[in-house]
Amino acid sequence: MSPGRVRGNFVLLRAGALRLLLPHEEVGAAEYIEGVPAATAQPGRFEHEVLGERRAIVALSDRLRGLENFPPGRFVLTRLHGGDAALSFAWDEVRVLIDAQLAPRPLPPALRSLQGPVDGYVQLRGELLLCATAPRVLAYALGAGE
Amino acid sequence: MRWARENEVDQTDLTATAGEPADVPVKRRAAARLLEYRRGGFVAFAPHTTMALVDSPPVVPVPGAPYYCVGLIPWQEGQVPLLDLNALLRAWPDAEPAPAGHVLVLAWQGAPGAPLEYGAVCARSLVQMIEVGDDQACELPTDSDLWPSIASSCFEHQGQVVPVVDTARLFAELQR
Repeated sequence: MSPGRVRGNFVLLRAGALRLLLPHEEVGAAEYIEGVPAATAQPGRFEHEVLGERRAIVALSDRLRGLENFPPGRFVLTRLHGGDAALSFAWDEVRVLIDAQLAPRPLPPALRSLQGPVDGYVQLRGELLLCATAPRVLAYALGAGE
Repeated sequence: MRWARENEVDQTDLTATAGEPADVPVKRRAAARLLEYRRGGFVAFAPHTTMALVDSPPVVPVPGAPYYCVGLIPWQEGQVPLLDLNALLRAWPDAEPAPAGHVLVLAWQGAPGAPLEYGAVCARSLVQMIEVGDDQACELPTDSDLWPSIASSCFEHQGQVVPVVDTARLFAELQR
């Protein structure tokens, strides 16, 4: 394993134990919410008012599946580019990595699948970050990846 | 727990004693590591393919990974895939997923001269070292279509049928 290096701006999105690493340009600005989003008639969809706008929200598990109960601590929203622009995702943590130099490694072949949104991983300061792209996360998380 | 020392020698082809007369039938014995992959179900690995038994490693699940992959665990400088053999053999996720309490790290070569590759499998209990003789050989079980692809032989041990899993074939099967 001799990893190549990449340099750029990235965003770390944390959902429970899952730490996703996406290119910065594929993630919308972080928005902080107060209170717990309300459940809707559609399982796994919530809504909350943000800056006077009613927002549809999804909270993902560490397997990137929509949770039916909104987990405590998910107070940061982002939109992901390449999908439904009205949909926001709730995360435990959103961290922007500016001009980061990273050494991504490919996912071991046994873990790869055609539908899987993860291409590789990065070990950064003791954390394991899974490399993905917004369109593939959206496709997988919203069901197209089944 | 690492087993570097005994891994220096290939113990898969041990004969009983050196220096016995050639016309005396030699009962061949070989060492094997016995792993409980489901409750009451065992497989064996050649000792030279087993690197370490790790207790409760941190496991990072990978979204979209095949159902038999538990996730990534740290090993040496990188991460290796952790497999649930029971889910793989049943071709279905286990209702009672294997706990990552004990994990056996395995090594193999994809081709002669190629660098070692690593992966890991869940163990339901502590891995045991046993000795096996030719007279214990038996047919592979028929409870999974995968056995002929991943097992090189099979033996009986204390009333159990124990396939010997070829580590390289196991991981090659997952890459198909």
